[in-house]
Amino acid sequence: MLSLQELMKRRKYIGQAFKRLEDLKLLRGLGGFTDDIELADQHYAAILRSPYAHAKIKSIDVSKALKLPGVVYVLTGEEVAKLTKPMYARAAPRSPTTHYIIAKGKVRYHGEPVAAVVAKDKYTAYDALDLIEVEYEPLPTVMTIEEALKPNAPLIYEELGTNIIIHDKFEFGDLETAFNRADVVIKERFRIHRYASTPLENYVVNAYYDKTRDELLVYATDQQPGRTIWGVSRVLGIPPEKIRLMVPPIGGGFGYKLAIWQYVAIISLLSKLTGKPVKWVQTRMESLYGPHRPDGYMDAELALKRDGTMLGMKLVDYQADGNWPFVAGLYSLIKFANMFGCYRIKNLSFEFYSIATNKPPVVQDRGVGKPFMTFVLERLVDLAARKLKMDPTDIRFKNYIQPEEMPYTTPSGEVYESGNYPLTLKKALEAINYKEWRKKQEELRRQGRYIGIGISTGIEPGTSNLGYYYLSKPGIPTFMGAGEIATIEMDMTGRIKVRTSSCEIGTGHMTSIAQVVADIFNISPEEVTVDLTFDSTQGFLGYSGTYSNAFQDVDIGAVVKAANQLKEKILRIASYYLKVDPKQLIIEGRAVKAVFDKSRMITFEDIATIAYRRLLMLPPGEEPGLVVKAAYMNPFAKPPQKTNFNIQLTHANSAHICVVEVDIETGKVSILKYVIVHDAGRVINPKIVEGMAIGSTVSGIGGVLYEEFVFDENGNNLCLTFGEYLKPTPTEAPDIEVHELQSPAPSTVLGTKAAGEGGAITSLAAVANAIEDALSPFNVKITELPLTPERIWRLIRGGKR
Amino acid sequence: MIPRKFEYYRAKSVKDAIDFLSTHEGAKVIAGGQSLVPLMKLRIVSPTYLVDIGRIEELRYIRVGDKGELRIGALTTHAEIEESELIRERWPVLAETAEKIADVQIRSRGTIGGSLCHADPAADYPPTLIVLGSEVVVRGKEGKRIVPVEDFILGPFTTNIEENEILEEVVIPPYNGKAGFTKFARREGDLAVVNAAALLKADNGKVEDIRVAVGGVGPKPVRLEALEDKVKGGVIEEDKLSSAIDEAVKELEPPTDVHGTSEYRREVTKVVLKRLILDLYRR
Repeated sequence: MLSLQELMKRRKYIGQAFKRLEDLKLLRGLGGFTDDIELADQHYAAILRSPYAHAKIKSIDVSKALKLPGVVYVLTGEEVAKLTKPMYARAAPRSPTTHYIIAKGKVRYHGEPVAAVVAKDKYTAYDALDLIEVEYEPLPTVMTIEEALKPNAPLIYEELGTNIIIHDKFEFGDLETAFNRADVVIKERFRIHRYASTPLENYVVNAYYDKTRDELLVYATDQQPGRTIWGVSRVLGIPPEKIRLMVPPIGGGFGYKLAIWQYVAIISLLSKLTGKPVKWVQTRMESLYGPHRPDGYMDAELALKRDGTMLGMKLVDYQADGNWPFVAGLYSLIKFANMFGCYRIKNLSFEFYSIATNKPPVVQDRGVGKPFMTFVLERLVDLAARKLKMDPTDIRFKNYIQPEEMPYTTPSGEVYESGNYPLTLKKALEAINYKEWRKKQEELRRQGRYIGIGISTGIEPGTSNLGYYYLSKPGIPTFMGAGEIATIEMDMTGRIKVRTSSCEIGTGHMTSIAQVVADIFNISPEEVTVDLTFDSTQGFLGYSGTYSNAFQDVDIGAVVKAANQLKEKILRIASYYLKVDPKQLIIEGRAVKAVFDKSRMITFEDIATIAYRRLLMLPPGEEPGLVVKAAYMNPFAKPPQKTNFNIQLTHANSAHICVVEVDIETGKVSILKYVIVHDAGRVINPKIVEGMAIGSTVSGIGGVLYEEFVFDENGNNLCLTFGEYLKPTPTEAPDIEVHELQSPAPSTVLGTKAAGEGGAITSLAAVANAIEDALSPFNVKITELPLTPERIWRLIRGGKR
Repeated sequence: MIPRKFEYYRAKSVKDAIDFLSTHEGAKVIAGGQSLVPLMKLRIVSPTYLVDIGRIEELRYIRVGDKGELRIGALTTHAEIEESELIRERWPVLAETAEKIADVQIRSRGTIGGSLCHADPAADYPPTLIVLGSEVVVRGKEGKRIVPVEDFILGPFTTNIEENEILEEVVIPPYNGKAGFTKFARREGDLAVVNAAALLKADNGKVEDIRVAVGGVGPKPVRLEALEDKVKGGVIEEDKLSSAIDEAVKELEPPTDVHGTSEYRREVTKVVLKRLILDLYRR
């Protein structure tokens, strides 16, 4: 087997900014997305959604809709409740029992599915929605955590008797002593708002239930197909082996497409009921109804010594994420992966509440709870620096985990496998020329201009160790650890083809995999075919998919493992044929050659001929064919225990420094400069990783400055088009300068780490800290997002000069 | 995002369009479609007939009339206005206004006639057209009538155009003095939270004439004549200007929406106006 050392020595493509192989097709409009697929006799679905946030469904009359020519079927919650099981909670000790894939009896959020239509064309399907008559009886709404926690608050799930879906508490170290020893305690309530990723491609599901075979074929834009099969099977009662789920390349995921399984179930049921292939394409308005990130708040206390040393931290986290119980608790629990940030904090308590409200469902959007966690932590650190009259850089340097402490285990059991946090910040300060900006800040202030410099340093964890769902729930987790499967084959012509059990979501998997495989076989990446379509018949694990920054860890791990096994087999066949010891063989120019005499060689094509067609020329005992399937799991995952667990398995880190100017008369913010130093371990393709660092930072900037789902007093979502829900566009995105550090992870096959969410996690505090710094003459304290011009304007007016 | 059923008619000429509109109930004119199509997709608007005037080439022009006035055909796109050398040279404020509308894609399709007929209270053209004293030419079965832009826009998404009329032309008199347009929006391409235009003539620091209009802060764009009267005739001092603006803005009743409350809009209007007028004055 090829050692990592050897591979790193011989590599030609790993580490190179190789041009993405997938782009030419994408640029030509030949991406081959789910909506590009039309089946014979294709029918179309449309979904009627609730105009109320909380209401009883008194009656539904579908007769007029059914009379519309072209309408084939109308499905309502009543029928769904007879045919399916309710959705369930993953992390909550008690699951609600009345929440079906289409609302039955009552609706719990504005936009909840109330009925679904199947028609011969999509226009008719939408016209039919107008003809469904629903009688609602509005119920009092619960839109905030504060309302939900009131003693007589209306209940979202009557069967639970409370709006608190989960409440739990964890404690590590000796908190009492830590707080007793403290010279200063910074105590604050921080709030996060509702925002969301909005991938260009919306949800698309195309399902065909074949009654002759009792088989369901589904194409879906699904980031976690492994789990979807399980969920759909459980809700619809179709055995998993009778479900074939295909995922063509996805037009952006960001976690938003981890919630699609409810719709896969609805559309599959519609196909089963009608016997027709049914396609549903979510509209943009539907996508903005939900799911989102949850809003919430955190009460945080940080205890420090006078010299800035952090002693302990108390966190109480309230998240309005209980409406769609499937995700309840996840935003809080995942915070364990980065709640200590880059700091040596020894004592910590974490209490959390997952609360049901009438806000729309939530999903694990880019970074899940980690952006808010880093926002809270990096804001606390800045507030502490202010209080202690320290420079925000000094307090960070004082508390960083040092490189020689790596791998470092946090008090809760999270293992930071590598990294150099002081160097990361140092490099960022140099890159932006921090001292110069401080000087400039003073000069400009004298001219009445307000610029501020914000620093945020954070951990970017990846690869969920999925058993963490059970930290607050009794029983053995339905899934633990993290892994993927890769299949690699050399076909009959000697060409190499790779597929994995995850999906392609636009993050350059094809190119990255091709670069790695190319180096293993000493060929060029163009000579590697990477199949980007997930197909459940090709083997998958329970939670297979593309999410939680796991690609660089488990996908690459599986690919390398499979490729090495195939390479060994090729060498064995060649060795037998050439009568040369495998140790004396090298691969070069699509052939296997003897080191000492390169004319003694056999080409890939000839090896393939032997393996597939001239089986009698195989070495004794060697199996025919050149197909290898290998599964890989991260070896560092621990089973979850309340006192010791690692929620995520790789930990990239970064320093963000942002310079802003605030127009104090209007509250408008301009970003003047943005620098990132990003350490994602060893990097396969630096250009792809840089692109993700920039993209995710822009999504964070959107979350801080532009994006917010606003609801009126009745719980109606007021942001249902991109005219109200403001994403940053290229005109809002600053030029972001990315510098790289590489601290290889000892825990992954190639030393790679999480890449993709870091910007979304670390940027919030960088921008917020910069704005607070700019407004320091006004004594403004930022504890709440988003920082819209109006909110900043109000902060300035509320503060004292 | 799928419109209700409608029938499509491509008009061959202005007369043809007017004839069709006169004989068909529930018909709506479409030009660039940048406002109407989104509304149809959201099923907020569902016309029975769509009368496409987009191919009537006679409505696509930018030229100077006999009296030196600028005449713009209704089908002229924002991009054409933005890029017109004639406009850049002689009516630069109009080009500056056009270039602030939405994004490149919308500017390449959207038309000045369409924008005026849509009458979004936060649209960018109206304040500029109002301070320049512009008019629109509206044609119907009985012939044409000329309406000042100020009177053409009646309220949110409402104009005084009849169902069987077509906006044919925008007429902008020549101006001397300094004119400016400014827009405060959440993002570059958004509809304005507040926009404003001003035309200022000063001689040796003394203001001979000033016209100011604002948009986005009420049901329709408005000219601030009381403010103009206070500024006219004297020199501009920042303090006095600010209090005159404060007075004028008190009269406005800006809407509250997700981009800003009424109170905030009022405050931003003050800032926007102060900066615009001072900038013109000092330019």
